[in-house]
Amino acid sequence: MIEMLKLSVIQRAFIAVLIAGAFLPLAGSISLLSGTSFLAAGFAHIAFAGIASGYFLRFNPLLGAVVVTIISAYSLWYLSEKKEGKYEQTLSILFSFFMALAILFFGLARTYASDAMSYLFGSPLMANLIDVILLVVAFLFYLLFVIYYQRELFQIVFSTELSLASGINVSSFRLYFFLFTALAVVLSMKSVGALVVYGLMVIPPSLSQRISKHFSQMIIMAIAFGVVSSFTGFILSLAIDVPVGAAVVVTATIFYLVSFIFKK
Amino acid sequence: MPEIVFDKVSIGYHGNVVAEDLTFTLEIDDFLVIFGPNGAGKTTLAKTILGILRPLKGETYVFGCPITGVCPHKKMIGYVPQIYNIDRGFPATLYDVVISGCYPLLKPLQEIPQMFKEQAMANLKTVGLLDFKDTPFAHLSGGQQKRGLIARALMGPPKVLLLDEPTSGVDMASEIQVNEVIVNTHKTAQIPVILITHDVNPYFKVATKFILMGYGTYFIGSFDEVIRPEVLSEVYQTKVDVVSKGGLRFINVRDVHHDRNA
Ligand SMILES: Nc1ncnc2c1ncn2[C@@H]1O[C@H](COP(=O)(O)OP(=O)(O)OP(=O)(O)O)[C@@H](O)[C@H]1O
Ligand SMILES: [Mg+2]
Repeated sequence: MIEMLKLSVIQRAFIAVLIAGAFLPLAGSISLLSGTSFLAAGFAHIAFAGIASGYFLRFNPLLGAVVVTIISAYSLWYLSEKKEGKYEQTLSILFSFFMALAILFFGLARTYASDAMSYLFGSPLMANLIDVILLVVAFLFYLLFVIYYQRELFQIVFSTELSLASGINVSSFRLYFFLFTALAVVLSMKSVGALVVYGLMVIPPSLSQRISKHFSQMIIMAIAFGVVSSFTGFILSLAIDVPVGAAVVVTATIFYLVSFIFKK
Repeated sequence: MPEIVFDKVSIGYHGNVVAEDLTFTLEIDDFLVIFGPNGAGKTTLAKTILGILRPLKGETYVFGCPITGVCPHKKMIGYVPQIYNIDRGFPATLYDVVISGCYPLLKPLQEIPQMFKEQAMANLKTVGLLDFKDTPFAHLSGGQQKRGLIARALMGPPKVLLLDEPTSGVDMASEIQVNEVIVNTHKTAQIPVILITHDVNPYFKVATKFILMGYGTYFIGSFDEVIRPEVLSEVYQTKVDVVSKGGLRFINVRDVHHDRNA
């Protein structure tokens, strides 16, 4: 196994899984605290439609996913902020529409590409250098954003009304948050898979929320749990040859359950 | 220049005018009490003053700046909202919430100055919650949370204090304490206060101005101009008396339905 870790393809996969393990809980923490946990599942399905369109129209599926998800994130923000639509309804409609598109495109493409399945279940070994670089860059951007604006974010998740009264442009923050969450989902999909993106966005932040007294502490702990789960999951998948995504989520869930034994 | 100027302002929401043609000013030494029946538009007026809602019509100025413009002073109104709901899992202690009142005054990444940390502790003491400073905010009772938000609003200190029913849900003893805090802040720190309440009696001594909001009508002025039986009876659509007893004056709603001798 030590030998395997020396292969560059394995190293790249390892980095991708670890970064996804940090990025998703970071986005997931803000999501959980602002009551928009459904965002991850929504974007994952929307991204899948983008991938399908990539296969059908014969261009880079990841590019298709990024474009479609970013457009949906913007539309979601625009419709729920500017048109006073209900966030959850808007997302549900976008979600169903894009799921239908995905089925349509896969049907038309008449391929049941195993590559497409890698987005669903995750196959970090297929992540290429560009995928990993994009993931790392997006993560670092969001991390710096959260650190720089931590006080605004605290106020926004505490109370929209009080933040508006303090002169914070809540609407813009919500847009950045939607866009970064969309990117976190799309760029992590190839390495951990769409089905697992949701788990990493929800489980580590939930665990961290249970044991944290402060806002910044919750975010740091969520990232820590995410990275440890990813690390453990990745090593497990190499050692006993199971899918990485599944191993990561099972590990995270075990951590979550263990936290109940140790606290109250 | 007064701290706040409203000149023929209409307030409300998209396609829903709540009150029209409001004209008033708030001077540095004013203690303005806003009252009136449910749904008259008191909270709507507060949100317009804060710039959360745009006025539908008319001119509004806060510290000399039009409300909708970008103005650094806009961050200087200490606000206690009427309704707020905090998720039970929200990760913040009472102290975290109180100190966040100074965040609008800090640059990003700037360390919190010692002065504000001391202020937060002093404010916690003022509202009688020093012992709870490390308690998760979401685990406090409703009345304690409200007092915590008052301590938060006092951070800075602000140039205007705007409180929307600060004593609703607060117990009797704490209510007296909260009222004392508000009045003392007004007097010692010379901060103008805008207070929305259903119980105006405790403020007759300190209030300099009243706005009585009714449905489609409103009355603005001094005690003698607004606190009058005929005005109150009209707005509340019930018999209201203004009683003078031992130098104290208070409003008394005559309960027509339960008067057995009637
Ligand atoms: N977001 C909103 N959109 C549209 N109309 C609203 C909104 N919020 C309140 N209103 C309406 O505006 C009117 C005034 O409401 P407001 O909350 O200002 O009353 P209030 O005087 O503060 O009442 P209360 O004493 O119950 O606090 C009400 O008719 C209410 O239905
Ligand atoms: Mg109100």
